[in-house]
Amino acid sequence: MRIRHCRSIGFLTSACANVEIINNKLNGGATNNGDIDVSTTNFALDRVFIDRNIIAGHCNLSLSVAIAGAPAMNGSQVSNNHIFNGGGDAFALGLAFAATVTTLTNGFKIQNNIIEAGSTTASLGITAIPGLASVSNLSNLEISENRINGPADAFTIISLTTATAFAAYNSIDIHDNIVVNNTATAINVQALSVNINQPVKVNNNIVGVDFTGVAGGAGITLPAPGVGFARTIGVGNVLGGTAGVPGFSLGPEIASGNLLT
Amino acid sequence: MSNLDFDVKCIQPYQDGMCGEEALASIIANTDTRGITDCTVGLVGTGANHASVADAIAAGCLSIRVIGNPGGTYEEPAGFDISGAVGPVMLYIDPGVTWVWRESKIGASGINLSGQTLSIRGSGWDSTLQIINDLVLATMVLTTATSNLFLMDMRLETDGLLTFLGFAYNLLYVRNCDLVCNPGDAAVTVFSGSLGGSMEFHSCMFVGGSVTARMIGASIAPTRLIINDCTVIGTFLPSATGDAFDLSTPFETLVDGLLCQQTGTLGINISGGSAQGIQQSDLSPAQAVQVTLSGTTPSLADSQVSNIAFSGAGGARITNVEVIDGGATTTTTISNANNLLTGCTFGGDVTIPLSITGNQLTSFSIGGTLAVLGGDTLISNGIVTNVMNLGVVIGILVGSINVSGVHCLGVSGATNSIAGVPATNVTDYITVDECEFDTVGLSGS
Repeated sequence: MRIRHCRSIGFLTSACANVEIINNKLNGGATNNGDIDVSTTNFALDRVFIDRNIIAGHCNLSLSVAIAGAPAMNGSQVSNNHIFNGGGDAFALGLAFAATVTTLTNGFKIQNNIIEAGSTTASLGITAIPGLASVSNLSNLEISENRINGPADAFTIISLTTATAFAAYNSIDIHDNIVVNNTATAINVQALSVNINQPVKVNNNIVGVDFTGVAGGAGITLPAPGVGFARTIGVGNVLGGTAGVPGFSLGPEIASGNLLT
Repeated sequence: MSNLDFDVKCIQPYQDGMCGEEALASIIANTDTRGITDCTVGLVGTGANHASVADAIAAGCLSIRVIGNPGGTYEEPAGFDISGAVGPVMLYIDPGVTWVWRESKIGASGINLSGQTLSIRGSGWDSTLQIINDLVLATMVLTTATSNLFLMDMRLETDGLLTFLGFAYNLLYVRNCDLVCNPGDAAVTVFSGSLGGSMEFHSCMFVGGSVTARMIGASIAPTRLIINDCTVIGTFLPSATGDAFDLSTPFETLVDGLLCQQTGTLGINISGGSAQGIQQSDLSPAQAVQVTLSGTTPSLADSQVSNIAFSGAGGARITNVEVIDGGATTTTTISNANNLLTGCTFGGDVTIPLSITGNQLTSFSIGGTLAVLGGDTLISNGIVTNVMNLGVVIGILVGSINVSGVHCLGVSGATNSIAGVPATNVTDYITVDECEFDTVGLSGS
């Protein structure tokens, strides 16, 4: 399905393969309906391309798959979108993707998006929640060149977490992002025990910096060295975080040229 | 006013000592000008020269005036044969005269037009040819492939089949006539069972007499059928029962101007030909006009009807048609392939079912919902008051759907409910370009 050059105050969801949503303008208005929500409960959702959309109001951009045993969202990209919440209330904001009962993504790029929050939000930023079924359910993920302006709330901005055994990450690259005004951990990559088994690279990000005098967040949290087979690298980051744990709360195994403010 | 419809006093300077019919007979006796009445038929002794058309023809008359009996009604006593006439025969029905053809008197094939041309014309005022179908004959008029029949300026009334169309003929030409189907409780088709030839109705009024009345039946098969500048009034077979104007079998059909003022619903079936200017006069569902487009590549233009039904091979061209919100018929279902609809408005919903491909809907307005389940479909430049539903709910879309330039309340996408199966093929797309959604955007699950 392709949706291009459209305007709506509603939400967009799609259950088709080969989803292409580009150059649309959505305005959620006063209620939580300004989303782009690509989801399916029936089949793998691959090759999703969401690019150059403006999403305003009480809005979200989410991708989700809930089907057992099938790979999903392989070869997808979310890029060049501008997501902002002028309403400033307790609706979700940002970009989330999840696969609750399936393998999630092999080759996914989240790049060059602008996410701006209002005064308060229920959630914020980029969140990935892998599913249950596989030890290799989040692979080759790149989050880069995004700018995320959070409110003075305690939300983790870039969050790759799982609370489930057997969920895992492979080859995560988070680089050249700017995350400001958050008070919680800016970037958090966590999994339980043995389940991180490939490198996580976090380079050249500016995170947790408060440009307005408010205390910044806790910086970057990575898996503890030696957990599972994790290999973590953090190079050239500018790390804020005076209210929480500054800098790297854990890891990386290899750190170089990071600046802690 | 006919050239025969004058005051006989005007001829008295030329026929001293004579007046009225006597003077007229004298003139006829001294002239042989074809096209002017040379015989009269009716009650001999009250002005008529002959007691029957057969007698007049036997006397060599080519232009015969039916003056009737005193009181106006004259019943033809038997059939007549013009096949041996030296030229075309014209029968003129006087004003106020009802000329009766009763099957039990005329008999099967009792009127012989073989190889000949017969013109029956009235005065334009109260001149009636009444056919009484008391034997339910297969045919009362015998024609051949070179026979022509002209009916003009009169009222043609029947309680049964117009049986002169039972054989092959060349041309039936009807102009400025009231065609009255008055069957009572019996199911009647006025024009039916013809074999070849051309049939034309110009400036006529089709008058129905009951819910069993059908003006043109499906078995009619002229090579050309024209209905031009005509009106429908009275009561006909309801559209839910059948088409009162079933034009589905002619080789070529042209309808150009048909004002439908009937009291109930009316069905019109256009097959392979073209129709324009079909106008439903009363907008209420009770007087709905349903046009069925059948055969191969029929067209409908510049019309206002309650419903369009799609039948046959498809490929219809529909231009500038308003489909009224007809209450019980609020959904227009485009149920065959390769139709082009341009500049149309629909009061209710429009649906293209699953596996129906190749349709185009452009420059349109829909008062309800647009549901497109069929692939290879192009939707462009329109307004949909409710939502657009694109793609299948159960099953897999075959072919692509391309939508552009549509303003609607919202749009929903394919939502295949079969687990593990996407709602579209990998190579097929639902594309929505440059659209506006008022409230709800695209949804699926």
